[in-house]
Amino acid sequence: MAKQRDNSHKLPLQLTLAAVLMFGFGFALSPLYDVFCEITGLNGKITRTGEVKGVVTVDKSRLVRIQFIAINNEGMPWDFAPQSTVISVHPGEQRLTHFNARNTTLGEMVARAVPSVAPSEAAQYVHKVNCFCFEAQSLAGLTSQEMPLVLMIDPALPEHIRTVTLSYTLFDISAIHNADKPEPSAQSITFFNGLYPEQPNAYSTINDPRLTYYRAPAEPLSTLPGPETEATPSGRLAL
Amino acid sequence: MATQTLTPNESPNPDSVDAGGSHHGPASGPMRWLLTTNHKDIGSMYLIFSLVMFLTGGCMALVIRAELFQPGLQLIQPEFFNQMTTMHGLIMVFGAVMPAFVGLANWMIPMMVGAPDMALPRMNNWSFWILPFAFSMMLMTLFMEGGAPNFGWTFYAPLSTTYAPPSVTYFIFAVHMMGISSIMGAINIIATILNLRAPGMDMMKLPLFVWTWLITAFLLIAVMPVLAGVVTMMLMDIHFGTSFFDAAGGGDPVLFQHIFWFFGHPEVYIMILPAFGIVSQIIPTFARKRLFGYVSMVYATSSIAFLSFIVWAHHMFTVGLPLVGELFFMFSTMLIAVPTGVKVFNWVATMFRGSMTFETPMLFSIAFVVLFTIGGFSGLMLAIAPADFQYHDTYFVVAHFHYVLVPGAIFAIMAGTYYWLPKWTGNYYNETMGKVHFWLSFVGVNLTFFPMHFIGLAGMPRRIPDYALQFADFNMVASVGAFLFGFSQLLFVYNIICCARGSKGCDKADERVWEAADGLEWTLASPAPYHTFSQAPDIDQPMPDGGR
Repeated sequence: MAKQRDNSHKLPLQLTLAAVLMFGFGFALSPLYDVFCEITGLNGKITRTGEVKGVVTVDKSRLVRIQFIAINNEGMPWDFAPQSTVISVHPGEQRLTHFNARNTTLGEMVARAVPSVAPSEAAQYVHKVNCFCFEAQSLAGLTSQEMPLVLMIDPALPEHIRTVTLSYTLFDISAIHNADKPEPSAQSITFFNGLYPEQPNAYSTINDPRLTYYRAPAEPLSTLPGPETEATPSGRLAL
Repeated sequence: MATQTLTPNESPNPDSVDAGGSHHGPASGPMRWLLTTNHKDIGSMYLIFSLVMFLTGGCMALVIRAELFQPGLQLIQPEFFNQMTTMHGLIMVFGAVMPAFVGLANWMIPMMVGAPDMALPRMNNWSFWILPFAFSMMLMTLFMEGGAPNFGWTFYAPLSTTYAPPSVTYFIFAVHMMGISSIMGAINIIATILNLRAPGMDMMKLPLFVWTWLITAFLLIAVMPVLAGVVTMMLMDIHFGTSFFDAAGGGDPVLFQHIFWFFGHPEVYIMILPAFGIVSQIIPTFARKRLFGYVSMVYATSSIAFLSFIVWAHHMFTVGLPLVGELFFMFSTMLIAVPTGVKVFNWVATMFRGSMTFETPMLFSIAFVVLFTIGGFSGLMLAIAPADFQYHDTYFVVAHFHYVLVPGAIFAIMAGTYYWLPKWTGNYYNETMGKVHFWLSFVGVNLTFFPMHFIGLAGMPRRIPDYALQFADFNMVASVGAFLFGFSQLLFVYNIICCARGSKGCDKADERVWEAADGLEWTLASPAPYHTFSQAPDIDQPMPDGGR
């Protein structure tokens, strides 16, 4: 009987502890998901970066096609394209190629390219020595730049993979980037302006074309003509 | 009486005071319901709350069906339509089905295991009273600038983060609160079942409703915190500059779906396992036979619960999973059909050559078995990964989960309500009215959801306010069925009120209530006294007619 009494106090505490642990587990899923993808190479994520260590023998016996794809995330107004859409390399050989980016807006913008590899099985055999995707790219209005990419295919790449596709999606992160600074450099009138006048950056829809096209510095948005005048008083677009 | 310290306006009913001087009736006065720790009071409040939420969510469903009666936009704007689908889903899942099961658990589990009350009565009170506040907060968003959440009940990021209306923050806190409520309810139920069983009530003697709820409670403790975690990540993405689900900041929107469905798939079993339990109580009573395969039922329920943790990505076949993943989740999902099939066959075998009568609870239970099986089969179709690419996000999915939730979970709740109502109120409900309610609901549900299979296969996407002309006829049929089903619930409400009041035509119930009812709850008076099993019952004492 005494044993049962002990248990009756412990059980709810144990169950509460289980609930708290599961709450933590929910958050742990975020890094675990990355770890899982790294181990299995499932998500097309490239984990091998930086200088190639050790001696790599170039496998002259075969050529691997590498296709490059450049995609603008929704509403991203930059011109973004690879200089060559496809190259052929020997496994083990380091190769330099470039992507071109041009900021078509008047204001300064910051972008980040998020890479992905297909087939995902090939991801673990792609070694990026240097990539523009390692860092955020900042461009002043109406300027362009060449962005370098140095990569190598591991000679251990399975024979049946003859083509590897490297895709880059370009995201506008000006809003996130500027949020860290005390004074936003770019005009940050937002989509939900009517709702959050006191927090101009809080809900800035990063990917909204109406926003980024008119991101001209020092010029109030209201003086520019454009589709933003269609916004209804509630801050939502009239359909 | 002399030993009590009661103020004059709290004087209890003299009949309810026993020789020992402890009063047995409910407290009187306005604070009774707010302060009660009685499992029967709290069970009733849960059930009434869920009925109110069921009717609220039902009205939203009728707004949706009214808009879809014809192609084109007639009644509401697309923005509001999206708010309706979102709120309908959230309210039905978290406000109607889950609290209804917790209410039934509160009422029945202590009486079924021979316990005087729930193990943690004050926490029980708290876990109920959080809910009205959570749902007030959720419903408040309908009147806010920017409108209520409009991203679907699954609230996929970035729809629910980058593109969400500002009211999403209220939604997040409402989900936190209902999560806390569910977790506390689950802890209470586990503690009651494991600690407060009457002597001699072994685990393998527990009624199946208790067993299924025990397993459900473990599922709740495992996954509700994960739901709380995912909405917390959303909150941080929206307000604190993190990038859990934002690819531009290094996050991944697909991560949202993985975490959400890690919660979401066990959640669908949380909504169906107690229903299995209810049906497993009712069918033996009206078939006048012992439940076929009790032990296999327990193991089947446990297997379903275990499998529910390893199948979540079958909701995400189209996100670009690798082939290995698609195959794994396809086969593990199909595996669930095995324990579920065991249960369905057990119910059928229980009815086989039984002396069946068809009172309202039995009608609902038989409809449950038949229609839930249809929903299960469409689930198997959806589990086939290559076929799912066509079915994904169409009305076929809507038909599938409404078949398992409406004639599944909701029918079981209604069956349970009719079954135990005489025990709760001391009166039988009006049987004729109950049967009319059943047939109207049965016809209404099938008219509403069966055509959705066809329009889904033909390609009508879900969550759209307008549709192509070729879907018009079936949508019209579905809308007619929805209104029939919706309004026939008024009969249900009326019947319950009449029964609770003991109106004319509602006969008095005896202890046993049903001719072949089996279990400890049927040894108590009807209506069940305010306090029951203050002395632990003798389990081995046979039932009035020797039991079964």
